[in-house]
Amino acid sequence: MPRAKTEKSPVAPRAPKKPATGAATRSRKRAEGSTGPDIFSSAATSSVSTKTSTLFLTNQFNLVAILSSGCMKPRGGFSKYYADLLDLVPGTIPLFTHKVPRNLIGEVLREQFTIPVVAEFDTIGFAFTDAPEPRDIGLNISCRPVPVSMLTRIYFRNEKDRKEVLARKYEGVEFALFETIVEESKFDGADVPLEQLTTRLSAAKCEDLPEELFILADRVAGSVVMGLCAAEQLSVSALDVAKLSAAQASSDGGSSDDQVLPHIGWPAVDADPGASLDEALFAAATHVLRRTDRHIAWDPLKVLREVHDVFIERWPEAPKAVVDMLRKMWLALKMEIGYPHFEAFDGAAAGNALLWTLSDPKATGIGPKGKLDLGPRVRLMTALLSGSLSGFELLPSTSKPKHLYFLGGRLQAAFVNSSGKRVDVGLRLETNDGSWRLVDGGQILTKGARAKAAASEPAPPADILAACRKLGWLDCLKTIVHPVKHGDVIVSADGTVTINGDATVETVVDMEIYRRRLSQK
Amino acid sequence: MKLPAFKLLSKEQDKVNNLPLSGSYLVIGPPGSGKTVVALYRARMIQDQGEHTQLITYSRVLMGYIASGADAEKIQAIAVTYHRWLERQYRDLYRTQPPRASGATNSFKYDWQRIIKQVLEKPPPKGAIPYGIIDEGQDMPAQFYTVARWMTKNLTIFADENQRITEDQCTFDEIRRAANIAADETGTFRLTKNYRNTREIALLAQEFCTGLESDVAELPTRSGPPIVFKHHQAMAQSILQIKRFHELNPSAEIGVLLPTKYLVKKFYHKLLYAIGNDDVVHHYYRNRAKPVGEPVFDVPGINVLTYASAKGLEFDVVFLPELQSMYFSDPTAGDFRMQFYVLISRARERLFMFYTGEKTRMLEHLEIVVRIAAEKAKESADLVPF
Repeated sequence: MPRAKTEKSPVAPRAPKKPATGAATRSRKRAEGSTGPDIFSSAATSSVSTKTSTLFLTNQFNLVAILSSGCMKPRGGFSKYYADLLDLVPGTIPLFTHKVPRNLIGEVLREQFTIPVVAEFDTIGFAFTDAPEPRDIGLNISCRPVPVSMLTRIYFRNEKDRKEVLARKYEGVEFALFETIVEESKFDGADVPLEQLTTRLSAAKCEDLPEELFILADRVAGSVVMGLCAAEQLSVSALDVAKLSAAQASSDGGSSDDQVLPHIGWPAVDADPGASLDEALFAAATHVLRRTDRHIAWDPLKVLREVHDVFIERWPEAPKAVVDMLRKMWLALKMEIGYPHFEAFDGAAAGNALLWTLSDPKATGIGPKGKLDLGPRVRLMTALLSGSLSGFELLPSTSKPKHLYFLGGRLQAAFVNSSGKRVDVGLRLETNDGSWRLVDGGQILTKGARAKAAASEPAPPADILAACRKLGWLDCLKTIVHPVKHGDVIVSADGTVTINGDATVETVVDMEIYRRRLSQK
Repeated sequence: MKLPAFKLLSKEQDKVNNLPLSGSYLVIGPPGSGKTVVALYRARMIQDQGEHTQLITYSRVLMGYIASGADAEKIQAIAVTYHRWLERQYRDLYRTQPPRASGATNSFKYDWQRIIKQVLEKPPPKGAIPYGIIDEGQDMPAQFYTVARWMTKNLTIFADENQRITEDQCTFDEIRRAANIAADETGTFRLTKNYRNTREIALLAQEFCTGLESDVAELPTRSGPPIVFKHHQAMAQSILQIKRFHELNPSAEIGVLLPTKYLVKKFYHKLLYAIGNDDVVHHYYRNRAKPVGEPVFDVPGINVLTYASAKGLEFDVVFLPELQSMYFSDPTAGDFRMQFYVLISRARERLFMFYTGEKTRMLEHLEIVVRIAAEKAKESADLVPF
């Protein structure tokens, strides 16, 4: 077996072993009455791998996409895709047990300047999807993403290919974390007719999920991760956080957006100093989701450090199991994230790690029946993470939201009405006999109805008022004078208002204008 | 300037970034298509292979802009102007200065025939010469490429012939012939997506595109405020407006672009007086081949520059005051259109166009074009998905 050159990082790139949670996840989903597709769930039946490794044949472009996203996903998960084997039967990931069939190499070289590569994954304990007799041709099939933390080696056909691929550097892609080996024999497996392979892959009956679900999962998973680090700051005060964020953005040397951005939406945070972990997570994730609407330079390595510092080093009263869970997540994420730009941040792997952890009783060991239950808000986040809102009933059930986002600490959904116009609806979390619902009152509000609803909503928190003053958004503020007696108010012809006697003055926020301000780009 | 992550690069950019290490290539693309970004990616890649790499540009301002981007990304490649590069390379190889054209009043007018003859008679050894990466390649004369082909190991040229603004500048065919680059998909590559401008700005720029090979970029979906085209009583009014804009948007990178050196000098001093902070207001022009002032990039503030210096740069907000000082006999002629194509496409978010005094034929034409572009932006706004 020729081994022309091997490079290995001084830091071992191995993730903590993930427990085989396929069964646990499925039982949980069933218990919650899952209704929608779940991009992280395994297929209906699965078998746990006892093989040490499996091989994935692709080209260098998709390999970089996999490394930068932290996750090997089915075809639908690629926003930028170069033809390879994922295209044969969308929804399935074909993995080979020993060598990749030599006749398939042409399938990954259909686009200009592509170079074949084989990624080797350590898949002990990984639950592959069962399909009739795929293994007689040395094939394993997965319908769900495989985290990059399982990737151990990358093989090239020759030194020239290896040099060309490793010469290109991208933010967040660290080839040095893996062994890069020139080994032609890995590309020299016995031929497998394309038709035969396609038939076997089709038998797995994987669902080809749309890209939007992966994007949603990325955003929410990313926000959960980011939220972990922001949670402590959030418990101070909304304005302090805004200041901190502005200072951080300017110290990052960010662009004008970075400095403007933290002022948008930050004041609406309603976390309190006594917020529980799930409340803090939710509020933090809310922040981050809002921030993703604009470009922001964010250093996830810094984020990881903060996760470590905040939750592992400086939170002595935290339950040991929570610390253990966070430590596991941190270790997994450390290897799976390395993105200096938040907008390029692909949280699928982070989400996967989170789901592995949250869904497995053995991983946490606390909560009812040994399962960690962080509360409905985190469950909502994990449901959003799965892209399915599984476990939640979304009303109106007939409309599928085009876009979910957060505004003022509330989950909002954007729908498209029959005339093609966008309608935004505020959703709230409600419970009914243990099942959770996202409710908007059962109707999609028109613009007028929304204005009416906004007018009748409770007074905004005082920090929004303070924020409007601080930011100079004076058009958001209305001053109302309440005289003790109505007859004591005299309005003269030149507009001067004179009040005789006692009066109280109240400043309120015009939420319509405030929201418009928040949404201004 | 920050290099985007892989996910944010388009397939076209991936392709250019994955051009083989050896070989010469021409990459063509309209403004905002990421030519400079991909040039920096390529420079970093070649540099990492231990090869000496030089990033060559025509203007000193663009060189400074690229150098600041290279510094930020820790790219060691040297950014240099084409005059300096030619002088230095020629002197190192032939122990003499490159010959000047006889009777040339401009010290940068070279005797290309003699230079080419010298290079062909005694070509430099391949080991002694750098990789050349050229940005805004249409700015150089065609003969330069005949020379550069022999004085570099390989060339990657980024260019847009719609952005030629002087008669010396060359077309893609001239570049390809001189640098011996194939016109097919083995040598010439295209970038087509506009990442810089808002839809409104891109639509206005499109009105001025001359439609040569690089053609216009795909329209961006990102929408922004409308273009402002306004009459001011005097220059002071334009200065006041820029000052106010800066005060309300202190974090914005603002470019104030003017047609002549004289106006740059005058405008800079008045603006500096109005704002009162020379950390904020910067300027640059050349006076008898000597640089005056220093533009500052990638930090909030105002750069006052000539039109010629603005090529290849980008700002959050661009002000084009004193438009009446531009003289074009025919506002539909190619040079007029190319000039405005370049100027308009510098703006990322907002564009302001001001003039003082009488409205000339050129200004009338400009106003109509701005109105047409605004109508197109309004019409297409409904088609843009949210």
